[in-house]
Amino acid sequence: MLLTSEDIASLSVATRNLSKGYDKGPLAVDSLDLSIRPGEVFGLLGPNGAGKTTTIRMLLGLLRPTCGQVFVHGEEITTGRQRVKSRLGVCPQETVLWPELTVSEHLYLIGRMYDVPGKTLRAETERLIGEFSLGEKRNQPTKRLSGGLRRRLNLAMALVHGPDVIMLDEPSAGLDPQSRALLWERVKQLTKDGRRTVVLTTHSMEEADRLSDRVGILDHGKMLVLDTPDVLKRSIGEGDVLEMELDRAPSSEAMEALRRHGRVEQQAATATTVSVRGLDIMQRFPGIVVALTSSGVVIRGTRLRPNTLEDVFLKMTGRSLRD
Amino acid sequence: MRFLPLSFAIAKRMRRDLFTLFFAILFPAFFLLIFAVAFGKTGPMKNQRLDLAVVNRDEGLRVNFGNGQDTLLLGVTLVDVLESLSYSTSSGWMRSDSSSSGLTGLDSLGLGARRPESPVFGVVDTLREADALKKVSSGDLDAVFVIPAGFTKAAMAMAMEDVMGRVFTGAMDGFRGEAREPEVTGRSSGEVAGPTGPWSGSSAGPGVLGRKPTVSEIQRMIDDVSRRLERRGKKTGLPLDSLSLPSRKADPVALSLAGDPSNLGFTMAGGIIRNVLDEFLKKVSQRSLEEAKDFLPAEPSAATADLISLENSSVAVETRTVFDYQVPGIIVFALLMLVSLVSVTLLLDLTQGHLERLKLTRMSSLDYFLGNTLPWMVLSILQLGLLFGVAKLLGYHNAGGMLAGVGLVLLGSLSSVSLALIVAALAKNEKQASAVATMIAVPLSFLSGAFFSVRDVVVSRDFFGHSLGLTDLSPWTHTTKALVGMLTFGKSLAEVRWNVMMQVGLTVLLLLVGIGLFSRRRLTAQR
Ligand SMILES: Nc1ncnc2c1ncn2[C@@H]1O[C@H](COP(=O)(O)OP(=O)(O)OP(=O)(O)O)[C@@H](O)[C@H]1O
Ligand SMILES: [Mg+2]
Repeated sequence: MLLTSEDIASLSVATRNLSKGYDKGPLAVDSLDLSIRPGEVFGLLGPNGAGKTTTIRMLLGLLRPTCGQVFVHGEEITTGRQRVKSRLGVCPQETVLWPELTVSEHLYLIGRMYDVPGKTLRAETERLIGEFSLGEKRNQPTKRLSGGLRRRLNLAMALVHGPDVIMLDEPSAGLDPQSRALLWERVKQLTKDGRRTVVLTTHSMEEADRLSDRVGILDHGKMLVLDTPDVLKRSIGEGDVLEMELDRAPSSEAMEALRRHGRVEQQAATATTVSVRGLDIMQRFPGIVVALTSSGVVIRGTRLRPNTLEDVFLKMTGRSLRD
Repeated sequence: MRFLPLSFAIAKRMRRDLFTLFFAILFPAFFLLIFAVAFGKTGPMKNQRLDLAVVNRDEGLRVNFGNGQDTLLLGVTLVDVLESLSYSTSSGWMRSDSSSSGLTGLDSLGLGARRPESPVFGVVDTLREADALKKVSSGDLDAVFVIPAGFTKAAMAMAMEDVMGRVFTGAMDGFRGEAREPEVTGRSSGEVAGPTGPWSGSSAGPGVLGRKPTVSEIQRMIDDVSRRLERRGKKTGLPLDSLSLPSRKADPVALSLAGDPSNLGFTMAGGIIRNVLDEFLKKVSQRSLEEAKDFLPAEPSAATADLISLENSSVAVETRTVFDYQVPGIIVFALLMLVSLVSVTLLLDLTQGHLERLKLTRMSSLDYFLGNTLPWMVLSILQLGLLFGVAKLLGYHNAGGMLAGVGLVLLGSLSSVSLALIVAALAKNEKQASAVATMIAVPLSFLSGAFFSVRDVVVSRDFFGHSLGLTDLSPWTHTTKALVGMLTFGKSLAEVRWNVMMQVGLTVLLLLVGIGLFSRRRLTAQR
């Protein structure tokens, strides 16, 4: 897909043929074409070492691509980084804090580095400290903070200057469920008005599924698939599981008819519990019902276990561990 | 003003490592202590022989002694005096306030060479000045002393002017009738030209004019005095030329002493030779006066015009110990220690990700540089205060106040941070930075004259009117020199402006390289 310059200007983040090879080894990022629109939450998924952080660092202009280009709000990042710097907010994968500075000093430091005017900065600092529940520790040097609190501060620092393209590299790593819920809520709220853009990497499929408008699954630097979570779940993986409780064991003809709809499993012990597994199984639900009832079987109950993003992920990237 | 919060962050980090900081500040103070103990009282220069090449071009003066014509060679006598100077055993010469009390040898003026046990000068007689200068450049010699052709003539002219001045004053006094008249018709002096020297052994008593002269008598009297002197001169050995030539007609001569101003030996040689020369000329006058005593009033006249000057020894030698030279040096050494400290913090910024975190913000390279420099500048001022205070306690003779050094120290810390930027731009990690910085800073402290003056390799003899050595390419050399000038000798900023200008110029250069290199390698997108 070739992007015209108008496309590029209207996109928050765009890449063209973006590749990065480190000194040794194969390309860490291989010919990536991304088009992320304003108001979108883009989830970048991939096993360890897939190239997510490398991609984000190139999007930020921290890392020079081996080839290809990055555009943020239409500005080529290697030449126009200064112009878009203050529109970019970053939560790095590795928390970087100054151990001796307190929580509020961090927000102040980063705010001042973005030229946030004093008054606005004070208000924003207060708001973020409240929002991320850092108030109790606001005057503590960060070396005395727990890991999770450091992560929360790391997140708050990404937002202190009111950026409109926010890159979160594994923001939920190390967060407790409460904090994670807060993060999710905050991300949704950020993009609600359609102005801001969030690029998010995560190993939590649930998080990606819930937050992302689109997800891309990256492996060995290559984008394997890129679509909305729903489309991916409907089209990739083992599919949904429809579990049915029957009044009796179905006949072999009925089983044959079921097999046309998906992979059928019969629970050996009870024989009356049958499950059919296939992509987008609900589309076939009427056919399944007909196949069973025509052989006289009564369906006592059904349970649907839908395909998950995790299924999609594992299908795409395999089960072997990465180094 | 993005750099201020950055400075704050750095200052807070410095506090974390108080131990290192404490050590960094105190370390040079310990140096002071050691140096004060070692060099503070008499100095290591005590009994150090100063290597001096003498180019004696003195052509002398033909005089008529009672026993025939001869050539008076005061240049040779002066060289003899220099050769016979020795350090007295009781105290180093530098401690003595009077120029001659610590030195023996001046008393033996005119008595010829007597090889002393611990000579001040190792004198090499030569006529090849250029060769000798080369040896100064290579550090084999401390100084080259050139005695010009007209030395004896000028010395005698000075002495004679003294004599004539007194005769004339006496005549005028007689005219006014206020003082004892000078003796015009005096007796002749006793024996002349004894075996030890041309002027020794003469004695004369005072005479009386008898009556008040008229104006025309005065004129006649002067003529008469001249004639008599002339006649006497032929008889007693007073140089005729000098008598018939009023000193104003004699060309002033300049003795030159060339050497490396950063070499303490040269400075010492200058001070000693100046003192010796003063004493020497005084003695020459004294001897001449003794010869002409017949014509003189008792009161000495006003000072005579200086026909003989010693050039190139502009550095004052007062009551100074080597320690006094070293205090500014230690201050500069402390500044150079910053290179290691600063480059390590810069590297920590890099390896701990702070720099990358800051790179995401709008921070510019200048912000980063200023933010990093400010705390160290403050620290170096504190350190200056500490070192100055400690030095005072240890007996530092400073003519200038500590505040005179503030600007120079700020400038010096800027040079050090610039160098630290260069190190941090090239080093891979803190360990490497620390090692490299130390390897650069320690030799640099030596080269910059922090511990003792260095014999320099001359790069250019005329660089905007100044001689430029290899060590002059280090801004810290100029910090040392300017600090010695301002703190130790109380010179004004204008007097050390050359060093300050060089320091500013070199610092700006270093700064540009530092910021340029650091931005290119550390503040752009990583490759
Ligand atoms: N500085 C580097 N030098 C050399 N190779 C690197 C460097 N940084 C990353 N890599 C390599 O690039 C590839 C992608 O790394 P990257 O950090 O982008 O992965 P990731 O998707 O963020 O992984 P994770 O989920 O573990 O954070 C990996 O093979 C990694 O080894
Ligand atoms: Mg990563």
